[in-house]
Amino acid sequence: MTQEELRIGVFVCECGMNIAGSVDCEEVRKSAEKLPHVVVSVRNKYTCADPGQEEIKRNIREHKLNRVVVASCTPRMHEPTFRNCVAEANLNPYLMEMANIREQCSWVHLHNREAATRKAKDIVKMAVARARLLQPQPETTIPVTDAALVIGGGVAGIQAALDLADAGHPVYLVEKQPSIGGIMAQLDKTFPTMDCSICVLGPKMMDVGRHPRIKLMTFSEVEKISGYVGNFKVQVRQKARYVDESLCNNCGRCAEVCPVVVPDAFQQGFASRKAAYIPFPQAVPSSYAIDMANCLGNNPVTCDKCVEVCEKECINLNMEDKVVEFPVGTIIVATGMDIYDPTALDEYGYARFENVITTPEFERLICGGGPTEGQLVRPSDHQIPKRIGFIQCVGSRTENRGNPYCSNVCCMNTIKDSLLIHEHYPESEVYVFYMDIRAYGKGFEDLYRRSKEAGVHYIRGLPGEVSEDPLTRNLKVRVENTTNCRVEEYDLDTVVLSVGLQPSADLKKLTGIINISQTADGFVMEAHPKLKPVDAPTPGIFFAGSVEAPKDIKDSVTQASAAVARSSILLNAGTIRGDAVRAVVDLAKCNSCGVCARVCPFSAIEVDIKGKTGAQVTTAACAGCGACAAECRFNAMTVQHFRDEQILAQIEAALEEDPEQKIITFLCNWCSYAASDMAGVSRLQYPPNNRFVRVMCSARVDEEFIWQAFQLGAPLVLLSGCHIGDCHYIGANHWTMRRADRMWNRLDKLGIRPERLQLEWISAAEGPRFGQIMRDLEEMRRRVTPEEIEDTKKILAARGPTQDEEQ
Amino acid sequence: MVPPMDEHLKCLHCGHEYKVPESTKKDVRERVCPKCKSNSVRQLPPR
Repeated sequence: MTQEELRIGVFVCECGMNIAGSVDCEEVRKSAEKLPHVVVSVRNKYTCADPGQEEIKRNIREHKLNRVVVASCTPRMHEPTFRNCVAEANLNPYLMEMANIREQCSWVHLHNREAATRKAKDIVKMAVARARLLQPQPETTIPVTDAALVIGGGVAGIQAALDLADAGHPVYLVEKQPSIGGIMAQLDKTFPTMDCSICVLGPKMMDVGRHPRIKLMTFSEVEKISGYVGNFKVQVRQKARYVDESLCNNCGRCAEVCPVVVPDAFQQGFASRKAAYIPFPQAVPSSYAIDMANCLGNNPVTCDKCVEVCEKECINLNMEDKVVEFPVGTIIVATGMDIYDPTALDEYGYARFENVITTPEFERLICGGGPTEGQLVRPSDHQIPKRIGFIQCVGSRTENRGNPYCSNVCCMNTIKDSLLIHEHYPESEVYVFYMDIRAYGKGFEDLYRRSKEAGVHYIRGLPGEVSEDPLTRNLKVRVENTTNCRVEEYDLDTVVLSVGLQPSADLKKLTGIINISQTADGFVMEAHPKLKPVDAPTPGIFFAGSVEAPKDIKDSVTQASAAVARSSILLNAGTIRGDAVRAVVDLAKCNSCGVCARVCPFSAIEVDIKGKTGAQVTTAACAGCGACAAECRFNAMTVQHFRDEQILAQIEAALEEDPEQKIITFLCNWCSYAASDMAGVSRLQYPPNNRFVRVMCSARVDEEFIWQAFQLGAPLVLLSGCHIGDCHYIGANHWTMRRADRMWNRLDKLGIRPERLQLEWISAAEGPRFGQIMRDLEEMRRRVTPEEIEDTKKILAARGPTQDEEQ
Repeated sequence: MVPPMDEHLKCLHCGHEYKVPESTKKDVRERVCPKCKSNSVRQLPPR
C-alpha cells in the first residue's frame, strides 16, 4: 500500500473523567487531526461502550478508514475489544493500534495537566506513526491431532490418562518402569483418611490397563519429541521385557525356576526377588519381566530355565527394543519426583546404623503386603521396636545439604505413620522431632490432633546427632528442645528419617527432549505460577503431579484433572487459532548462520548451517518473542506486527520534538508494561518525561532501536522486562541481558557513558517500583547535558551503520 | 580443581562496584546492585 492511500482515524477517549480529568482531550484530538494521513479525529466519552464502538465503525465506513488509532486505556485490557470492533467493520484487526493515555498518562500525571496533555499528544503521535506501517495479518488455523501423550504412570499420570480417555480422546501412557503405579503403589496407608493406598490405586491401575482408548506402554521411554502444539510427533523406545505381556498369564513358574536372587527395589531392599519377576502383585500390566542386567543370559547352556518352563511360550530372551512413533496433539508430563537420599547427612547415621531407616522403608515394613507382612521390625534384630523416633525435614528446608524448599508431604506422612504405629502397637512410644508441623489441608489438623491425643510426643527441635550403642544397636538422639531451651537425649530402638522429595533425576534428560524449563529448585517451570499453573510455557504441554513441585496424592490428582481440562480445550476444538505475532524469515537475506535457531527458546527455528538453505520457522511453534529478529545480523528475521520499521517509527515520533527532555523506555508486554499499568491503576505519580514503546518481550529490542534513540537525541534509554526466571518466553530475556552487556561495552568503546542505557527487570506486581524507577530515571536524565547529547549524535553519525558489527 | 573466578560488576545506576564469585552453574542469574537494587549492573571485563 502506498502512503497516499493511508486513511487513519483517531478516536480519543475521555473515559469519563479518568482521562479528561488530567488531560485536555480536545487538544489531543486537534493535535491528532494535524498528523499526516489522519483523516478524522474524534473525541468520545467512553470509546469502549457501545456508542463509542459504533462511532468507530461508522467512521470506518464513512471515511473509508484503513487504519484506526484508539487513544484510551491499556491495550492489555481493551485491545481485543477494539480489534473485534474494527473487524466488524471489515477492517483487519491488526490495523488497529492503541495509545495508552490513561494508565501511562492521565492517571500518573494527575497534577500536571499541561505536561500530561503534552505527553498524551506524543503517545498518540507515536501510535499514528506505528499505525501507518501496520500490515493486515491473516488469521491462521492449525489442525489438532486428537490424541494425547501422558508421560509417567504414577497416580497423576494414571488420573490424567483415565480422564482424557473417558472424555473420548485416545491416550498414549508411557511409563519407564515395568508397571504403572509409581510411589503411591509403595505406600501403606494414605493421609488424612488412612485408607489403604494400593486398595484405592489398584482399581485405577486396572482401569488404565483395560481402557479401550489408552495405549499403555510400560518399560518405555520417550526418546524424541518434535513438532508443536496440536501436532507433536513422539518417538518412544519400548525396552525389551523378554516376556510377551499379551500372552503372560502371571503363573509365576519362571520366577520359581529362576536361580538368580537380587534385592527387591519395590520392597526397599528388605526382600529379594528373582531375575524373572513381577514388580508387585497388583502390577499393571499383570505380566512378568526378565531383569536382563542380572539374568544369567540367553544362552541355553548357561540357564534358559524360565524359557523351558513357560507353558505359554511367552518368554523370548532374544527380544529387542522397539522404537515406535505416533502423533499427538497435546502432552501431559507427569514424571513425578525422587526421594531424597539421606546418606550425605552423616550426623543421622543412615549409612552407618542399621536401625536408622527412611520413611519409604518404614512404609514397606508397616505394610501388610510388605516383606514382614506388616510387622514393624527393626532391621538389626527383627525385634519390634518399642521406642521409635521420627526426624523431620531430612533433606528439606536446608541450604547446605539437601533442598531449600519444604517437601510438602513429610509432616502429614509422619503424623499418619505415628498413628499407624499406635494402631499396630498401642504400647509403643513415638517421638517426632520437628521444626514446624505443617498441617494445612482439609482434615490435616484433625489428624495431627488425633496423633497428639494418641500420645505421640512432639519435640520441637531437629537432632544434631544420632549415635548407636554397639552392643544393643539402640540409638541415642541428642536434640535441643526449643520449647524449653534444653539439650535432651532420647534412647530409641529405631529412628525414621522423614526424607524430603526432590526433582526426578531423569527430568534433566526430559527437558532436553521436550521444550520445558526447570526452576531454580529443579522442578518444571509453569507458564504462570498463579494463572497457568498446569501449563508449560510451550503451548500444548501441561504438567501434573510432583513434576511441578512436591505434592500429596490429592493435589496430584487434582492437578492431573486440571491438566486434562486444559488439554481437552485444544483436543476438543480440533483447530487452534494462530496469533499473528510470529517470526518470518526473508530467505534472500538469510545467511544460514544459525543465530536465530540458537536464541529461539521454543526451538521453532531450524537452520541447516552446512547446507546454507536458510532458516525455517515453524510458525505454530513460534511464540513471537522476537529474540531471533533482534539477534539476526542480516535483518533476515522479522516479527509480524512488531517489525523493525514499526518500532523505529515510534521512536522517531517520540523524539521529534524536545528529544533532550525524553527518556525512551522499552516495556515487555507481560511484566514491565503490566507494572506500568499497575502504577497507573494505583495512581502512583511520576515525572512525565518517559515515552513508552511496547514490545512482546524485552528480547525483541534490537540494538538498532537503542542506537536510533541516542542518534535522535534521547538522553537516556531504559530497557525493561520480566525478572530472570519469570520470562513469558521461557528464557528469552537472558538474551536481553547479554545484549545489554554488549551495548554497554560498545557505548564505552565509543566514548558514550554506558550509564545512559539502563536495564531493569520489573514484574507485573511491582507498580510502586516502576514509579520509583521512573523518578530515578528523571534524576539521571537531568544530569545528561545538551553538550553530551550533541557529542553522542556526532559520534554515532560518524560511526555509520551498525548491522555488520561483530556479535 | 580451579577455584571460581570473581565477577567484577558495576552498577550503572549508583556507580557501586563490587565482586561476586563466578557461578559454577551455567544458569543465568539476575544481577541486582546490593546498594541501590538496580538491575543495571554491568559485568566489567577482567582486569
